Amino acid sequence: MRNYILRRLLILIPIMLGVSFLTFAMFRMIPGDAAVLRCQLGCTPEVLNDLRHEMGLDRPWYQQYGDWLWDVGHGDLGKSLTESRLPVTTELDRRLPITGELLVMTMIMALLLGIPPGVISAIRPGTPLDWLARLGSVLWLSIPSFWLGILVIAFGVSWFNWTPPQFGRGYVPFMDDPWVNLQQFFFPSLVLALAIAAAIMRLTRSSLLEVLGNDYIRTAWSKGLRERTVVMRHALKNALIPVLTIVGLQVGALIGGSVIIESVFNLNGVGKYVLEAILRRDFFVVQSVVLLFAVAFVTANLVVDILYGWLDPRIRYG
Amino acid sequence: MAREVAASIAFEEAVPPRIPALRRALQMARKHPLGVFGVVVVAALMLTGIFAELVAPYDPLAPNRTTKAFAELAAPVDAQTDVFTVKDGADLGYGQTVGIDSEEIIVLIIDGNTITVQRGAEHTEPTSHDAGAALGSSTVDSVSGPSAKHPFGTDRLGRDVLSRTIFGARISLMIGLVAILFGVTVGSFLGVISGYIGGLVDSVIQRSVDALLAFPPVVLLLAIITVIGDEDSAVRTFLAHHTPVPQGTFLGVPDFLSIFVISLAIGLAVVASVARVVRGAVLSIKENVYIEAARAMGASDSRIMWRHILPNVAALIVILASITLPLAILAEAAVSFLGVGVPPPVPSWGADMTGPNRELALSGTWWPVFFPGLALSLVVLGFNMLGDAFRDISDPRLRGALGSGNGRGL
Repeated sequence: MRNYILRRLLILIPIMLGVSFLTFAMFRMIPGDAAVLRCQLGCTPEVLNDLRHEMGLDRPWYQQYGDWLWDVGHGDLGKSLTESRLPVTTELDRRLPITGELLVMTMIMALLLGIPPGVISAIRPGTPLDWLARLGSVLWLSIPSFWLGILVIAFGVSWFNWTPPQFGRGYVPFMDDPWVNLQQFFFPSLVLALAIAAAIMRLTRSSLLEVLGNDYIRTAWSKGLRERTVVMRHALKNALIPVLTIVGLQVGALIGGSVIIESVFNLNGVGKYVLEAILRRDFFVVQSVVLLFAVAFVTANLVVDILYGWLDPRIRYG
Repeated sequence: MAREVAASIAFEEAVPPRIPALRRALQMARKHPLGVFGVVVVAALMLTGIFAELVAPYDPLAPNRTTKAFAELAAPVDAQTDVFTVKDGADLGYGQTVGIDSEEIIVLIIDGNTITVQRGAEHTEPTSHDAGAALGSSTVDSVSGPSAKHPFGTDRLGRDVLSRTIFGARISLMIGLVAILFGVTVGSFLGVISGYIGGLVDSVIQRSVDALLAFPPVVLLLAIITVIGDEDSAVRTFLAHHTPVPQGTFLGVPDFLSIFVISLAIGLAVVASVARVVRGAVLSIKENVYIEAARAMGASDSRIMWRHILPNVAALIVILASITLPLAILAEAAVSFLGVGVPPPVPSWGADMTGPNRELALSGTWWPVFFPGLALSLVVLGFNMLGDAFRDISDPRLRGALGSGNGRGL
C-alpha cells in the first residue's frame, strides 16, 4: 500500500514536468509576448528591450524554464509579468479559498443531487420517478453552465431584485458572515454541479441496477431483510465504486468549469486569475496555476484509487 | 465442397428473417422515442445551418431594422449638456446605441427618464456636440422584446435575434464538424501508431497524452486558442499563405480564417483523449490471429496498420466522433463566451451570450442571451439523446453508463 502510493507520487513528477513544459512551450510560440502587450503607446525598441530584460524574457528559453523550475522547487511560483509584478503565491493566498470553497460546495451538491435520484431510479425502474430522474439527468448534461448562470443572475435581478452579493462587495469569508458567504456560493456551485450530478446519477443508476441483480442480493432478500437494508447496506456500497471513479475524473472538469463560472458570477478565484493571465500572456502565472491544477487533478485521482481499497477490500494494489 | 455448402446453409439459417428497412426503422423509433427527438433536433440543426439564408427572416449582421429617429423619442434637458429626457410614450430599453457615422458608436445609457450619452470609444468624454449630432442626424436602433415582427426580439444594435440564432447554427455546425474531423483523424492516427508500434514511440505519445489530459479541458483549450488564434501566429500565417483556406467571407461566414483556426484548436484539444481510447482498442485488436496471418503473408507494418487494424477500430472512431461533436459545439460556445473564440460581428451562440448582451441580461433584457443559449442547449440535448439511443441499440450493456455530453465542466 505505501509502496503503491509512493510509486503513484513518483509518476506525478514526469507528469508535472510534462505539463509545465507544454505550457511553457505553447506560450513561447505566441508571437507577441507580455512585454509587447505592456508597452503599446509610444513604445520604442529600447523601452521594449528594457522591459524584456526586467521581466527576464531576453534570456534563452532553457534558462527561463530552468530558473522557473528551480524556483518552483523552492516554493516560489514566480511573479506576474504585468505591471503589478505581484508574486503568484500572494495572489493564490487570496484566491485559493474562493476556488476551494466553490469546488467543495459543488462536489457536495453534485453528490447530493446525483446519488439519491440515482438510487431511487434504480430501485424503482420504469416508474414515473425513474423516468423523471433520467430526463432530468439528460437535461442537466445538456444545459451549458454559463448560460444557466447568466439566466440565474438575470432573472434573480428582474424577478426578485436579488444580485449575488459578490457583485457589490467582493468575497466574504465564511467565518465573517456565513449567511452572505453561502449566498455568494450557492448558485455558482449549483449551476456548476448540475452536469456532474447528472453524470453521477446516471452511473449510480446503472451500477446499482447491475449490483441488484447479483446473487448475494438475492440472498439478502431471501433472509427477509428490509429493502432499506438490502439497498443501503448491501448494494449501494459496491455500486458506488464506479461512481467514485467518475467523481475523481470529474475533478478536472470541475476545475475547468470553475474558470467559466467564476467569470460568470464574478468570483475572484483562481479560475478567473488564470483566464486573465492567459489573455494577458502572463505566462509564468499560467504555468504555475496550470501546474497547481494538474497536481490537484492527479492527487484527486490518487485519493480515489486509495478509497477503492477501503470500499472494496478485494482490490489489491499491484 | 459438400462441407462448404453445408456451412453456407447453416449460416443462412442463422440469419434472422429479413425485415424491411423502413419497418425496422419504425420499430426502432417506437422503442426509442427520445432517440427520435435527437434525430429531429440534429436534422433541424443541420438544415438550419445549411439553409440559414433561406430560413432567417433578416440579415444577422444588419442593424437598423427597427430604427426610429432619435429626436422623436427624446429631447435634451438643455442644449449645453448631454442629458436627455425620454418623451412621453417612447419605449426605450436599456443601453440604446446611436450611430453618428460608421466609425463611431455613441452609447446612450438610459436610466429611468434620463439618457446619458457615452462614446463607444474609450478615453473620450462625450460632448454636447455628440448629443446634438445624435439628435440631428441619427436614428436609434432599439432593443425590442419578442414581437410578431421579431419573434426573438432584437439585440443592442437592433439586430434580429432569431436571425442571429439561425446563423449561429451554421457557425456551431461548421466549427463542430471541422474540429471533429481534424481532432478525430489526428487522434486516431496517433492512437493506431502508438498502439501498434509500441516501444519508445508508444511511451513518448502516451506520456504526452498523460500531460495533456492532466490539463483541465477548458484551460487547455484557452491556451491552444491563445497560441494559434493570435493574429500573427505561425499556424494562422501558414493557413493564410500556403493553403486554400479562404480569408474573407466564405459560405456566408465572415472572417472564415478565424473560425477555421478556432476549429483546429478545439480539434487539437480532443486529440489526446481520442488517441488514448483508440490505442486501447488497437492493443487488443493487434493480438488477433488475422493480424498474425497478415504479417506471415509479408504485409508491411503500414499495410497492417491502415488496411487491417484501422477498419476494425472504425466503428469505435465513429462513436467517439458522435460523442465529441456536441462537446466541440459546447466548447466553441464556451470559448466564444469567454471572449477568445469567434470574433464579434459573426453570429455565434457563445459570443452572443457575452459582452453587451450579457450586460443587457443583467438588467432584465433577457432575450438576446436567452435564445442563443436555448438553441445551444437543445442541440446538445438532441445529440445526447441520439447518442443514448445509439448506445442502447448497439450495446445494451452500456445503457446509461457512459457519461455522454457535457460533464467536462462546460
